[in-house]
Amino acid sequence: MHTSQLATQVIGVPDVLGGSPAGAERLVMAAVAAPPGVPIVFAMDAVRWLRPYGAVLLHGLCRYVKQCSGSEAEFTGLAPDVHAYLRRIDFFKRAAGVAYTTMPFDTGGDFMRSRRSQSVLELVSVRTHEEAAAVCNQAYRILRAQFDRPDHKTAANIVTVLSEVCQNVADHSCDEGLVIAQKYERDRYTGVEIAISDLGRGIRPSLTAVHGEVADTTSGFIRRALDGLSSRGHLGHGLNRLRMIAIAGGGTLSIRSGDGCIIATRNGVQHRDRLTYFPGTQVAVSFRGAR
Amino acid sequence: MRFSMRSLTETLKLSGPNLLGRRDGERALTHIKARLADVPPGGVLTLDFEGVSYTDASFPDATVVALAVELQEGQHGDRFLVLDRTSDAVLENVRAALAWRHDAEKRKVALFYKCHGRLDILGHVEANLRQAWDLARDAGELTARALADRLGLEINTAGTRLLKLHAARLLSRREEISAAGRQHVYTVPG
Repeated sequence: MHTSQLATQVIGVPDVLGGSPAGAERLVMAAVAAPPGVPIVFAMDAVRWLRPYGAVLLHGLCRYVKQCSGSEAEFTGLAPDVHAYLRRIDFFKRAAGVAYTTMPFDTGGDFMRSRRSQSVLELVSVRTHEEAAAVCNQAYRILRAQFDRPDHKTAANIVTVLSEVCQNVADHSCDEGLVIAQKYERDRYTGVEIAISDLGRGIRPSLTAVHGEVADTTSGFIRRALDGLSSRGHLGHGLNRLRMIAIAGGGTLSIRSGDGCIIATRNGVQHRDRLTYFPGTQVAVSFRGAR
Repeated sequence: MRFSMRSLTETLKLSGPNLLGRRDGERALTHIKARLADVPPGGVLTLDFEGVSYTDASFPDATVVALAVELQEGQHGDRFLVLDRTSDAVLENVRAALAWRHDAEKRKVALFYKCHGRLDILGHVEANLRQAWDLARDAGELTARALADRLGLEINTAGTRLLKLHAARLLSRREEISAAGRQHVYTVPG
C-alpha cells in the first residue's frame, strides 16, 4: 500500500548526505524516532548532492523503516540530478520492496553507463564470501579499463578496501551488506569513496560473544576491532589496512555500529558514543590517489 | 621448488584472478604447506605471483606472513621462503601485513622477495643484522670470523648476529670441519 493513502511521517534529508557525521546522525535520529507503524516519506528537496555513504545509509534506513512501519518509504522532492544519480547506482533496484518514488524519470542523458563514469561499482548486495569476491573481481575488471597499468596503486587500494569491507560483512554481520564505490577524477588526483552498510549483528555484540566485555563503550569495541580484535578468534589486519590507506591518502575511515562510531584521520581517532542506536554496521572509506 | 600462486584460482575454485580474503588465504595456506613439505632440508620454496595482480590485506597475512611466522618458529624445519614476480600492489599489502604484525603483535617477521632478480628482504630486520645479511649476500658465504674481521667485532658478537639471521630464516647454515676446527658457514638461501 503506498503512503499517499495513509498518514505519514515526513523526514527531510539533508544536503550532501554522507558528507558530515552531524547530518547523517540527524537523519538516523529522525528515522528511528518515527512512530511505529507510520509510513515514512523521505523529502529530498534540500538534496543537491549525495555521497556514497549517504546512499548506503539511506538504503539501510529504508530497510529499517520497512521493518518498523511495514510500509515502503517514499522518496519525494528529487532534483533531476539526484534522481539520475540514484537510478545510476541502482538505488531503487536494490531498494525494491523497501523504497520507491512516483516521480517521473527521464531515461536519457546522464543515466548512461560508460567507461568515463565516475562509478566503479553501483550498489551491490553482499552476503557471502563468494559474493564478496565477485564484487572485487567486478571492480577489478572495471578498474583495468580505467587505469593505464593493471597494478596501479589507486586501483589496488580500491580492490583492497572493497575486499576487506565485503569480507567483514560475510564473516561477521549475518546480514546482507550493500556496498558502493565511486571514483572522482580531479586535475591532479583521483578521489575515491567506498561505503558499505548492513543491519546485522553489529561489532559490539559480535566481539562480546567471543571475547567478553573488552571495552566500556561501543566506540571502544569498534576501536578494538580496528586494532585487530576479531570475533573469529585470530587477530585481523583488514580494518587497520583500511585506516592506513585512508590516512596515507589524506582521507577518512569512519565506522558506525550500534550507538557508537569512530572516525580515523591523519589527526588521530575520534570516538563518539551515545548516538541514536541503529542496527548493524556502516563503514565509509575515502582517500586520494594518483591518476 | 616453485609454487604458482595463480594456480590457486583453479585449486580453490576462485571466481577471479585475484587472491582475496582470509578464508581463501587459510585454504591456500594448506596447499602451500603441502608443497613446502616436499622441499628438501636447506631448500627454498619460491611463491611465484606471476598473473596475480591484486591481493587484499587479509590474504597475504593469512598465507605468506603466517607461513613466515611458522618458519621462524621452526615448524617446518630447515626450509626457506621466497616471493617472486610480485606486483607492486601485492608487495604493498605484504609489506603492510608484516608491519602490522610488528606493531600489533611485537613480532619481528621478515621474508625474502626477488626484486629485479636480486634477493632482498621484506619486513623488520635490525640494522646490524641487515648489515651482516648484506655482507653475506655480497660475499656469497660468510663465517663469524669473516664478519668479525670485516666489522671489527668480537667474534661472539658476529656469531650471534649470524645465528639470529639463521633463526629468522634469512640465512642458511652448514657446518664445516677443518684443520682449524669446526665453524658454521652462512649463506643466503637459493
